[in-house]
Amino acid sequence: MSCKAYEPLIIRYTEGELSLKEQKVLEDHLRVCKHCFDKVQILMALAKEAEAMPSEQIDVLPRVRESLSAYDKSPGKPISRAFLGRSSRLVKPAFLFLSLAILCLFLWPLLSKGAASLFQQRFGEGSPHQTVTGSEMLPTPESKPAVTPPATVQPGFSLSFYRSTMTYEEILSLSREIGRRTPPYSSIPIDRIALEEEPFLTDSSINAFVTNTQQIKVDAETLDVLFTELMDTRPIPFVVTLSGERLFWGVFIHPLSSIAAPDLPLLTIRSEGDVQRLTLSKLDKAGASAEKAFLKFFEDRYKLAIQINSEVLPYMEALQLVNFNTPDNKMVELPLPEGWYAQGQEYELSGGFTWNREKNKNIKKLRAYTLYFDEKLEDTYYWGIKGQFSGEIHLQGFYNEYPYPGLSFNHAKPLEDPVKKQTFLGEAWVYYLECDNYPAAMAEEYPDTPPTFDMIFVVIPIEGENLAYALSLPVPEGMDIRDFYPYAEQILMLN
Amino acid sequence: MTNDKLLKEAQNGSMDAFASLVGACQPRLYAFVLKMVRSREEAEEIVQETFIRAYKNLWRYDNRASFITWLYAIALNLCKSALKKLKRMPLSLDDAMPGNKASHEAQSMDPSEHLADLEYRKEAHRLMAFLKPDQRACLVLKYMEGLSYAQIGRILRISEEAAKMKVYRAKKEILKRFPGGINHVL
Repeated sequence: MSCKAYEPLIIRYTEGELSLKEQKVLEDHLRVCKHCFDKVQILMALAKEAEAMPSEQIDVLPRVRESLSAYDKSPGKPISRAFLGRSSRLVKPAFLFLSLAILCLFLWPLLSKGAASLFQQRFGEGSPHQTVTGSEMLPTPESKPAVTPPATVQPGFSLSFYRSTMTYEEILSLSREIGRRTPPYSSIPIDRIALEEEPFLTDSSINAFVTNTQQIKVDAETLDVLFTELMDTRPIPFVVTLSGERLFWGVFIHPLSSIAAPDLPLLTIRSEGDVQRLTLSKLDKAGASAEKAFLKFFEDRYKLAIQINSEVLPYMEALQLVNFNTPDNKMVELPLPEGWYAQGQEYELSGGFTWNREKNKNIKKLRAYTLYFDEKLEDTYYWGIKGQFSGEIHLQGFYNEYPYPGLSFNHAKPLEDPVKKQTFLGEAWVYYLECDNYPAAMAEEYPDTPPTFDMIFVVIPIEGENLAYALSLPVPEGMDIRDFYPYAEQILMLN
Repeated sequence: MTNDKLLKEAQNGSMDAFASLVGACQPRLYAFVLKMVRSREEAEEIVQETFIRAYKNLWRYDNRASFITWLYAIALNLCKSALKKLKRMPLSLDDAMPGNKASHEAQSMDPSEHLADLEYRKEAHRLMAFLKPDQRACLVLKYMEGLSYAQIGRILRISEEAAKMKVYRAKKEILKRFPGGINHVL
């Protein structure tokens, strides 16, 4: 046995981990090998060196006092808030930025055209959902004043629905049930249309909707109904009224979500001049290609950011992010779990995007990261393909001051109530999600991909902006989601 | 007053309570930071900044880890940033040299043995400079603070196993760089 071969034993010896038998083997060798004896001694000395206290002492208290005296006492914790969205399976980080733009640009016209009071009710300072938690006495530079309605970036929504032979009440009851579980879409009959329930939808009009696009004028009252129903976390039915008359009803799934639902119409709401328009269009069969078209539609128009280089920071072992929740937007490094890798992507803000907070206005570029559990993982798709596991962290839009019950995940449902945590980037919501990428559609396009998966999703709202940091860690099929929580904990330094 | 009470008062805005915590924690924190950055001036700056950050973020502290452990975590990040900024692994031998008062050090009664021990200590001190910051942090937290690997893992935000592995790799690195042949060793 060579001296080199004794090294592991020597190390474990200094840790007190050897069995009696191993110890005897090593000690026999040490008696005859001065070199290895020295190695033991140096490691023992290393422990003493690490243990030793310095002879001199310091007193930093006066300077600490001086520094802290500059801070006023003000509310301590950031205001809790929720957010919107989750990362979609088929899209890369660009879409995640894009999502915000979609949200922003859709709602802006609505809010600015006749729904202002509703907006105030939803997002204003007097919102009943607004909560302030934690210590309000500590001087913290991160303390922020009460959030005011965003002036430049507004969330938006599109609306999806489907019709059913079930009654409104039945749907309502069912939606409450399926809210916690991913609903099997096929369990809700959509093959028959209850025309008597929907006087405005005749066969011909339905065909028109299916084959073309039809626009319907909607007044503020209708929007109020929509908003009222939209502000819920679960797939819920809604009723659209027009001038006091019931127009139709359906089930809201999620802003942007019906794109993957085959044979379901997609309803979008836009503003043209003084008229709010609902636009209903037919999706193609599997939804996947519709999604692409849908994305392209928005890509062509609205962008929060454009990806300028996907190879800027390849395979880093720590993530570098601007912490927008600090007064001076400090750059922070978040370590990756050992053996993980990150590929950085730098984004440039588009001209149409505006920061709300003054301090952020000099930020022109952002970074997002794809996280790899395996260095050899080639693709950015991440939910169990090839048996690998990876995730991503990015910026994403969310509804400002939107409480947890209002969270809406695209194709995902919380498995349980989220937990609020502290991270080095700010206050976070941690979710365990069950994600459904519409099995039928996915099976067709990605036959080797599990149709559903769980995901750890952590969102850290950026105060004063309609953005949040979002960490997505999908869990490979068959794995326990809780086993993956430590990774999120480590990356975001969750406390 | 116990640390818990001091913390509670500090979290309620009492600077005096926080000052007491600073007084209680700064010797150990300084020792830790000094071993990390190996420069007195740098260490003092980092300790100061650690306390400032701790105070500003005191509301985040939730008592799940000890206060000093929390401070170590903050300080460690600052140390890493400082080392990165300096782009050096300081090799200065002027700080924390062996032979300084080692509060926990067992003293040998045999003068020749003590001399040999001192030589090993000097060599160990020199070699520590070659360790990665995390490795060095693990060693210091393990031996100076007597923390378990689980506790070290929490500070470094790594698993218990990973913390243990870092100590193992640190020792392996030391052995790799150790030429052997300390003069005073018979």
